[in-house]
Amino acid sequence: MEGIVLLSLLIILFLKVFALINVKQVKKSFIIASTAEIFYLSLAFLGSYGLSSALLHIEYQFVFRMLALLLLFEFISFKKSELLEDLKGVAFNVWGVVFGLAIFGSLGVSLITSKQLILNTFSANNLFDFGYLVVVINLIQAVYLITVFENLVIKNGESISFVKNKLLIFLFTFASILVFVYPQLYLILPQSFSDIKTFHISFSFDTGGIRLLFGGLFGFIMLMVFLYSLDYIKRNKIFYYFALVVLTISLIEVAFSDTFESFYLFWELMTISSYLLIMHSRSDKSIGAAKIYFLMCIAGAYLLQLTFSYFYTHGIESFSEIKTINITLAVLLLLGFGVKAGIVPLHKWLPIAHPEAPSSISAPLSGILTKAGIFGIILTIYLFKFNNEIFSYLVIFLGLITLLYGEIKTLYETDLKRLLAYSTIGQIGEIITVLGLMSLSALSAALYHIINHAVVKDLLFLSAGILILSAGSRNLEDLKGIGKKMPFLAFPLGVGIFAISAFPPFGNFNSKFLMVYSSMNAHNYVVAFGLVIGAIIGFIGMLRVFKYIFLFNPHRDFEEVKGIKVFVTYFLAIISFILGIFPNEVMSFINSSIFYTLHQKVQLIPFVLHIPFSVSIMILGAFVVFFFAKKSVHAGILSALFSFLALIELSFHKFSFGIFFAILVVFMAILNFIYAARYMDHSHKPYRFFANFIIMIVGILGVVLSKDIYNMFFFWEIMGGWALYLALVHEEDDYSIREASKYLIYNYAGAGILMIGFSILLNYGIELSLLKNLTLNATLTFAVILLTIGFLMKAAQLPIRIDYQMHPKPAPTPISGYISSVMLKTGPFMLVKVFYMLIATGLLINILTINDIAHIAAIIGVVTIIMGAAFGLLTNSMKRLLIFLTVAEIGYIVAGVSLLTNEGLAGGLLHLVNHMFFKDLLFLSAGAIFYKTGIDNLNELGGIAKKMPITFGVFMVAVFSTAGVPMFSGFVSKWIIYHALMAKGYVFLAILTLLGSIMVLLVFVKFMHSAYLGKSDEKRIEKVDFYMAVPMVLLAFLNILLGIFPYVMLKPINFILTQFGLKEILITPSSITLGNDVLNTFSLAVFIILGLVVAVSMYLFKKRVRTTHIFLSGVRDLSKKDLHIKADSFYESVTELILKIIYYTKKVFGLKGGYVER
Amino acid sequence: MSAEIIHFLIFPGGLFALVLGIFMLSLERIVVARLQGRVGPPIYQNFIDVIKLFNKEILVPKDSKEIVFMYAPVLGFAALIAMLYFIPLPGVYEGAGNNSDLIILIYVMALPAISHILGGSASSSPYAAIAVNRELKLMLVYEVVFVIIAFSIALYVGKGSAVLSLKDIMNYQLNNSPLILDWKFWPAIVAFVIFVLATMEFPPFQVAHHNDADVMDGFLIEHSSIPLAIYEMTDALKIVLLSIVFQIFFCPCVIGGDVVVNLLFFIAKTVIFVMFFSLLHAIFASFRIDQAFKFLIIVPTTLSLITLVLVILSIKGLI
Repeated sequence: MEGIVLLSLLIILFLKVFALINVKQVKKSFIIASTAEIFYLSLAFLGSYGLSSALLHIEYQFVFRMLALLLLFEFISFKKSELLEDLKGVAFNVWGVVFGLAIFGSLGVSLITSKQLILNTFSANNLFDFGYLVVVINLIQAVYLITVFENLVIKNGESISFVKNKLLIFLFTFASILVFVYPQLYLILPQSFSDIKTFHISFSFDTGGIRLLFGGLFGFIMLMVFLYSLDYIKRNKIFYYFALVVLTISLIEVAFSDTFESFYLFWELMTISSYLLIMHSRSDKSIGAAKIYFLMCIAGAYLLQLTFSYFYTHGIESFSEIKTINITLAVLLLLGFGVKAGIVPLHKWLPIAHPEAPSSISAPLSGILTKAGIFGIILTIYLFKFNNEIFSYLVIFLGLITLLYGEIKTLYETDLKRLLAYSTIGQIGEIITVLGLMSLSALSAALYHIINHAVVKDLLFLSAGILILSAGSRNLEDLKGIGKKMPFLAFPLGVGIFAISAFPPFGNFNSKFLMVYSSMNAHNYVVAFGLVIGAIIGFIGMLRVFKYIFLFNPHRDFEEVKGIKVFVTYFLAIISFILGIFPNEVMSFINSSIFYTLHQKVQLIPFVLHIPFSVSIMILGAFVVFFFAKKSVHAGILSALFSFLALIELSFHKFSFGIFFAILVVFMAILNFIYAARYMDHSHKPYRFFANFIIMIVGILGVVLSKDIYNMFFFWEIMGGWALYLALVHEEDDYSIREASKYLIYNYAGAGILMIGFSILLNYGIELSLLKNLTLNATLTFAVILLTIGFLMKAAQLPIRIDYQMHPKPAPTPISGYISSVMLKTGPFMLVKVFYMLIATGLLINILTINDIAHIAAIIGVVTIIMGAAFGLLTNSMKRLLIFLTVAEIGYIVAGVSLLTNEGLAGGLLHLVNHMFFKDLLFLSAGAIFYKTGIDNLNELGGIAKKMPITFGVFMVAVFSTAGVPMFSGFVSKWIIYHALMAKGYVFLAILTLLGSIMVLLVFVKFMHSAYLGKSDEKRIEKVDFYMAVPMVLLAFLNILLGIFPYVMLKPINFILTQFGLKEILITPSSITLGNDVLNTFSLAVFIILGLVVAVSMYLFKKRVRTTHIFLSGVRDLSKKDLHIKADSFYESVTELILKIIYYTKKVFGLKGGYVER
Repeated sequence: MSAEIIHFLIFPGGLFALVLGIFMLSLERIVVARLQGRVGPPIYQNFIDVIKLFNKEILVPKDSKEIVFMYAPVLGFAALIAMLYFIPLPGVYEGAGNNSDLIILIYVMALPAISHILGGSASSSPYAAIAVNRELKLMLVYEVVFVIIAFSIALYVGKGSAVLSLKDIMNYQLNNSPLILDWKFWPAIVAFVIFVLATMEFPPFQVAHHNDADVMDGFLIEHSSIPLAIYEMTDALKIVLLSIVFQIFFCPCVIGGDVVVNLLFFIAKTVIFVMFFSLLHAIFASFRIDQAFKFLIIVPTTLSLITLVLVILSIKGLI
């Protein structure tokens, strides 16, 4: 019997293939294809049930195909040709609708689909494998029918105006509609052989929990799409809105339907309506793309149908009735849903369909249609009761492949919409990977991410649509600089780019954090690192878009676009923002829906955003500055004013480590703002610069004032995120864009590592103070290592690619100075918190583990000192030199705090404060030179000391502080650090540290000589003015004050030591005592000053001062330039040695070349 | 307070050190001359040189940063005179009780070089600029050598936990045997000799000033009158300080408890110290700067590291 059935199936297959090959001869091939259906009658051999289903099938097919054939005849007689090519576009009108009804009807869209019954017959007879053959047959038929449909209806051509055989067509149309409305009529005949009424005909909807969540999400996004479409869609409106309505209804119903029957129906309707919408432009390209989309999706749907047949034969008719599921079925479901979701390798339709569809359709295509597929996968996963290892590994594997594939593809794509489609694949990969973890927390995180992604991806596509409309092209080259010319239009796209890259304050940040958390909750390191790596790659891709849209200069004009659609994008941006700042509310909603559906409680992680009052002041300041300050001076003064208010607010708090740091942060902010008020006055858009600058400070303040992991990390990402980037690329030339992007990516990678570390900690609690009660086990040790790496990365330690880790040189000097002196300190700040809280437990295991980690951190710090200083010797750029030295100086801080002794911490923290003052001072003085001369290269400067005495004076103070000349601040902290290093027994580190210190001195002498002293050209250079002088002089004063009375800072540092349970170091207002050694800074200063007085008093004997020419051995024909020793002529043998070391070090790692000045 | 002022201004710092140092500089010249078959100046030559300089007018180059050019020398002078007050003198003076540890010593001893650099750099002479550049190159290496020697001693004296206090190092050797007798420190002593040669810029390291062959007086080329005199005096103080440091490091030997005897013994040791370097001064020719740099980075660094390793090994009980 089976043989006969198989044979007839093969015949059907053959006939269908034959028809497909001859599709050009429409009439003949259609008749052949239709005749093939009769062979389904062979199912009668499998019993009466088979006969019934075959009869029903043939009834349906007869009705639909007769209708199609009748219309076909009309078309042929109208066009007087049987060839497909000649019939193009003949039915783009009401007859096309009827024809479509016939075609899609025969494809099997109906209630009680007869195809389902056929498949059930096979399953019931243990011939499940035959089902695959039926799927293939159906697919081939689909290719054929779709080819006919798109040619006759969608393609452009002359349309038929009237039909002759109206009566018959009307009759069959009526019969076709009856299939949907009153299918019982068709059941009369089949039911006479067997009872096929065992399936539900009616719909039953499960409306609650996860389904409601999906339904609501679909509904909301479709509403946005409708609003957007109102003035976006100009052509074929009826066609468009009809399909859109069908799509909306079917999407919502897919989420709500529980029985297979209704699920399948709406699933198909969703596919068909979206298929029609993709072809909205009716171009050949879009038709081709839509075809691929449709065929892939329908193939998936047929697989689903096949799976359902297994359940039907076991008497299961809805998802909720399924009790167990085996792996084969699960894989079939995964394939079926996976096509829609876009899992690699079933993703092909995404990059093809998205660019061709109108933007208003690409948005839901990416945003929610893929989510329908994910909805199915979620169903599958909870059918498994979250417990099947093989399936879990499979899903994770596919997810990671999808993630990496999608994100890597974004790197090279130039078509904006295709790029976004690839980004969707990547994001879907993330979600699938996390779902593969098969845990409740993973489900909760994935749902959050689904919501966020739906909103943000819609935002991106809709906003891209507007830009594409304005530019008339999807190519990034053509969109270059549109954000500069049309900032209002492009703004939401920028929000979308940073939102999808998971930057706060947008929703994706929370969900990504939760996803990484849930992977660590399941102890799955592969997933966690996969997510982070994928995100980094994706971010590089998205940043590229940002650069094109906002930063590169436009080379063409763009059209103005207006209307509701623009506001829709803004609205979506706001939604994403809201999803970002109310994580707790969103999560409790998600968790309650999970509870409703699965009756299982998900542990709620209390992600609650606390914004300290001082931070709110600064945020307000950012807004005020952005909207009201149009001139640099106003912006600077306003910013300083708000910082001052925050400072006042902070001074009311009880003293703690955080407050101590916060006060320094705000204090430095005031100085830098005042300085920048003048510095930025030649630059464009000062309000943007200052607002972003403030937001960055908001991040730092938030970090240091945060009490729990979530808030800390939230602000951490604000600090190193978009605000920083926008401030860094302020000049918007290629160089600054490149460097700022490198730095942002480096920061992003560091934050990714931190995210994993924090995710591990989250399993133990959310408060940062929990570190005080932890016992380090293997997992936690790993977390601490990750955190250490992350914090060291922020502090620009770990000298691997120093050009990436350093903050970029071309940024405006005030912010460079601020980053160097303040922002980078958050790394050591957090390092101190983590290390010292963990050893404050007093547990031996903690102390030993942290000691090992900290030892390595100290070594890294010291190596960085040497490396930074060595590169400082090589470079000739003023600012890069200072940045190299920043990296080096923070090495001292890290080395100090990593000693885990009270001396080490005191020295490290004191150096942290000192470095804040002297490094900022150095930057400000360098900035003053740059502001007045516009030159950054030391080789081109010379003799400025004569023209800028104040700048030179404060520069020398800073140099003396940095180099550690007694009486200046750096000396004291270095003294403590050396003592601590030696006390700990790290003698080699101490020697290297001192070597670094001398190298720093060398670097500065080079700087001093080539910029300030020596000969100069006779250019007119003016002194700095009030705004720039005041901060510099104040900082210089602080450097000297802290050099003579370090007590002022050591007193609060002693408080901090006691807070960490360490012994205070012995200080008096004038001296510091470590062991047997006393550093009496006061008496040191007194006696040196006495010495100075003695020496200077010798000048009382001076007779006469005469100005002369310098001695040149009689040579007279040298210009001033010839007489000036340039920066790159300094220290030949030393630089040669360093270059050799670099060369060979690179060789060891298999790299070519030496030092490259970037 | 008045005792402190006396210690600072008259003895053992201040005037005493200054006078001793100036005579030592003369002595050095005499010994070198005698070894080269010349008669040499009288012993008070440097003294009258300094006095003479006070009577000259100060010449300031046209393009120089005048204030830095004029007053740079005071920094090194002040630092050394302060350090001579803080540092103990074996058997003679206890030290000021604070600010006398190795770290401060290392930093203070770098200050005369910094004032050379400032003064030279500010003079706007290309000769001075080249000399400054050379001095720094040397400094990079000889400071490290000094640091390694100092830390070796600190570790050895503290038996593993570093003792940085100069007084403790001195007392340790007074109670035990001086380190000059310990074979482990012999490489370090050689390295220290090279360090002194380099920091005083005696041959073979006479590359940055008094180098008549190329940069002539180097960073001092434009200096005259009082600034130059202060530089001279700084040199005098420096040679005394180096002698003291050498003695504290390696042979803080005393004869009994009598201060005067010990003082005479100290002066005798200083004379020997200076004469020894004069001998070296006389027999060596000068390096080129790149040779000097290479030599310094290889020989004394290695020697001092050998001592450091030996010290660490002996602390661990391996030798």
